[in-house]
Amino acid sequence: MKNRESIIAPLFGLVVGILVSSILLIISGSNPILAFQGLYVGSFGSLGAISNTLIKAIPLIIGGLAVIISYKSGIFNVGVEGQLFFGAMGGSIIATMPMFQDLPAFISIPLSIIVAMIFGGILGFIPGYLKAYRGINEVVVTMLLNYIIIFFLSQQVQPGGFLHETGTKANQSNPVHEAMRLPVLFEGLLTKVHVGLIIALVLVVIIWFVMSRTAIGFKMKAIGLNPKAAEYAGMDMSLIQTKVMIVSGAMAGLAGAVEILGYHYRLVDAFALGIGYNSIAVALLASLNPIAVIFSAIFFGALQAGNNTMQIIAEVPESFTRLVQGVVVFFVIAGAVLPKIISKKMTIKRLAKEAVEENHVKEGQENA
Amino acid sequence: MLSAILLFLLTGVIMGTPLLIMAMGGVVTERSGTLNLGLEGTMLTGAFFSYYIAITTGNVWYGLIGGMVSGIVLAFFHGLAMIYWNTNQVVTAVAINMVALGLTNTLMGNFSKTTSAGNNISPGFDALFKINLGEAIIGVNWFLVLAIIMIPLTWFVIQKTTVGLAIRAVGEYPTAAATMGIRVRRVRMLCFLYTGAISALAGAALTIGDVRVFINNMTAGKGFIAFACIVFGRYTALGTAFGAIVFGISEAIRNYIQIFAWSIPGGYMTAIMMPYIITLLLLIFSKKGVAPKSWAIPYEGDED
Repeated sequence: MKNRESIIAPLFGLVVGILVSSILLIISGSNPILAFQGLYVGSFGSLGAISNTLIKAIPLIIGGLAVIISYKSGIFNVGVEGQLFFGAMGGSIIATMPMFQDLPAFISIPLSIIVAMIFGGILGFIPGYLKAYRGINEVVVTMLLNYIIIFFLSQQVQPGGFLHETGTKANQSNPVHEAMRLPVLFEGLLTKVHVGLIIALVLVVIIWFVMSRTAIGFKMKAIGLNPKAAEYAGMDMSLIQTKVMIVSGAMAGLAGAVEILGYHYRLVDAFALGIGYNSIAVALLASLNPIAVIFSAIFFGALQAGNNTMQIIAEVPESFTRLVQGVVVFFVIAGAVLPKIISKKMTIKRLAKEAVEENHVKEGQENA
Repeated sequence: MLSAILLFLLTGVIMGTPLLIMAMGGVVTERSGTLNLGLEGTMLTGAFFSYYIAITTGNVWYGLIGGMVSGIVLAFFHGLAMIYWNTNQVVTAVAINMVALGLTNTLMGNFSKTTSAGNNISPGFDALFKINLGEAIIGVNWFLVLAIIMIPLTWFVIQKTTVGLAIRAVGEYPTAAATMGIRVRRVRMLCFLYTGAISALAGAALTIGDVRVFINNMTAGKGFIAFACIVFGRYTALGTAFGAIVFGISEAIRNYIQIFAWSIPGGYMTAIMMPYIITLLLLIFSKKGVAPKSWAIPYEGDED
């Protein structure tokens, strides 16, 4: 029963979401059939397109998992965006600064990723601590931090910033050292799909295992489902939620490092804008199920990968995919609660009807 | 010196006008016990539709009304899910903000294909008077007057009227309010729609009230800052207004840095970051908030 519900809500969300956004697109004067055709061609139409979809899905899988562990624990990390950027900055210190150039790759790659995770973890700690111990709404804090970090990153890759590539006017860092670039999988078959995909899939298994097979995962879910009961049972809710935010931020930071080392090869102003917010959509479409994140990340990755082709074929603004995302997520949320509400209403109606019938029977008996 | 300080405060209020309007609208919803993180979305839709309708009809008043209607429509779906279906209040707001961003960007993208760069300026409200700062001239229009009137008005309605009493009752003790015959969900929904309209009006203050063009994602987090002002202001109208003015002053400082090219470490980007940092610090160092007792807790009662 539970499984059936967790499939119905996303499907309902997808179908209604795509229908509603198509109607909105028609109103604004574009052809939705052409738009989705373009999206398909650009995301699954060729081997190049498929590899592009997978590349876009990698940070979404990791970011989606980061969102899942926080939401499951009853704390809402809307800051994956900022944590990813901050992590990418941390990773870039090792990956792009000349002083770390001579480190062997088996040291420098893990080091870069670890620094990225520490940076992301710090940024996750701030809203986690403020929420757990000071009661300050985590959504506002993470949103404000997102804006601050995005501006901070642009400041640091601009001339004068500590990550800026000397001798250029462009807002970018030095390129990632050759030795530190993540190896490409399926050489010759799919272009540029990198080891990050393996990292993401391993993380899926780890998070699935932790959430469904360990005591800590049970505690997290207990806090998320019923905080009061969890506290009565002796769980330190504040501590667990703070720790979860640190881990969630660290994972977002990891996603940032993977993007830099595996795909962008240098830190550029606003290089991953929107990935953090899309991760929220990924997690919600997956009904907060770590395994389902793979498919939902591929779906949202495909929306991004197909963007360009859609723009060319259908002349639809690229932000249309953002609209699709938002509407789909809204109806996934609605789809998760509507069956309960409808069944409750039907129960009330049935009970009322039964009561009326019972009355009739009674009246009949009395009359007789 | 005194006049300089006054001028400084005044520019703070002027810069903070859209935020002040929005925070005054937002505080009503929070007092009714609903967490509204969708201010960003309704403000953005209000900004876009007021611009779009004003430029296509040529009438700035149609733009204003259309913008407010768009805010109400978006708030309706948001409130329907949150208040009537008891969906998670944070997650629903995230989705609503995504819809608003995607919708306005898409419509703007399609609209800008049909216009040339020169005639994308919409009609707008003229300035009532102008303040000369030497190097820059700041126009003051009636949005500011409205913002200032809204401060005592919001306070009065919440604290001194039966409507305000109902709003506070559903925010503090919804079950008790329901036994008194107040329809909890309906009161919360009406507050929510009012906030949607007012935050869309604040969005209109950005476009037809100020620059007369629409820029993608031009609200840039103002909805969340407005929410931060409400928390900082301890969910009262006057405290919230104070928070919004402080934010306005931090925006004014940013503009002074840009206009007068003051040199500060990190340059221009530091100036842009500053309002967000100040808001965050205000939030961290404000006293622990006294939220309404049933704030952000969905009403589980049966009435519709």
